Amino acid sequence: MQIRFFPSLFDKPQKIRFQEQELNEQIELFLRRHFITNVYWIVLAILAFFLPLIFIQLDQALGLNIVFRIPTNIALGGLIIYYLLILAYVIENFLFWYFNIYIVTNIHLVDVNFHSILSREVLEIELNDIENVSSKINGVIRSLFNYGDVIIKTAADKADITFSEVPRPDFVADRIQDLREQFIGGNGP
Amino acid sequence: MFIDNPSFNLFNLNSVMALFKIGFIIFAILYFFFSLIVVRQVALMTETVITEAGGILKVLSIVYAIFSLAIVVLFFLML
Repeated sequence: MQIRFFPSLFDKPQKIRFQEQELNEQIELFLRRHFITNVYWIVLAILAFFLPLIFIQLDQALGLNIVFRIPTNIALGGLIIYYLLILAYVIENFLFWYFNIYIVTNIHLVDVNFHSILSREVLEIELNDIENVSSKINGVIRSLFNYGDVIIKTAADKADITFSEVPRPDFVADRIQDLREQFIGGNGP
Repeated sequence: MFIDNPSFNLFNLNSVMALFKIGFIIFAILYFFFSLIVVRQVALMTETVITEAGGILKVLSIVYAIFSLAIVVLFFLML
């Protein structure tokens, strides 16, 4: 069994479902922010991981011996707390990436927002409520890795949806447009 | 407890150490509560979106909570 953790775009995934999925509803696209958007916090966590080691090396090299003046159990306790905070930072960021999901089905667009550890929001709109779909890639990094935003304008009484930093935004926008036309042409699912 | 001790003095090194120890233990307990929230949130999100990796994430979140509890116990024993 292949478990695919890290792809950010799944085309017609067979083994993914969501809570409000209807019986005749099929997932066409399953999206997350591009994995490259995680690089900032991953690098920061790695730097933070090595910071105490650098500090101890500097302390010894400069002959300050600050570390050895602190009682062992207090120093050890402080170090454990420091690494626990890094672990919490990594977990919070990973969950934020992993559970911020955009789903395109043959009937709906679903935007699952995981704002923080304490709040979540699920937005769902029908394909026939879509008025306009556009994509936007701006900046060097985004162009290099081919990711950007897909902006979905909906009927006036509904909120607009933005798929932020998703891979291949042109392809995603095209696909949503095609599905919308199919949905309207077939008068529903 | 050391706070009830008449020799307790805020400016004494031992008292400062004691305050550090209390702080560490309180932090570990709060951290354990944070890990429980993570377990709850992962369970909720894996029910909202059902993926292949959902089961593994749930197990990992429980392992994380057990690890956090072990830190609380460790702090009580060590400090």
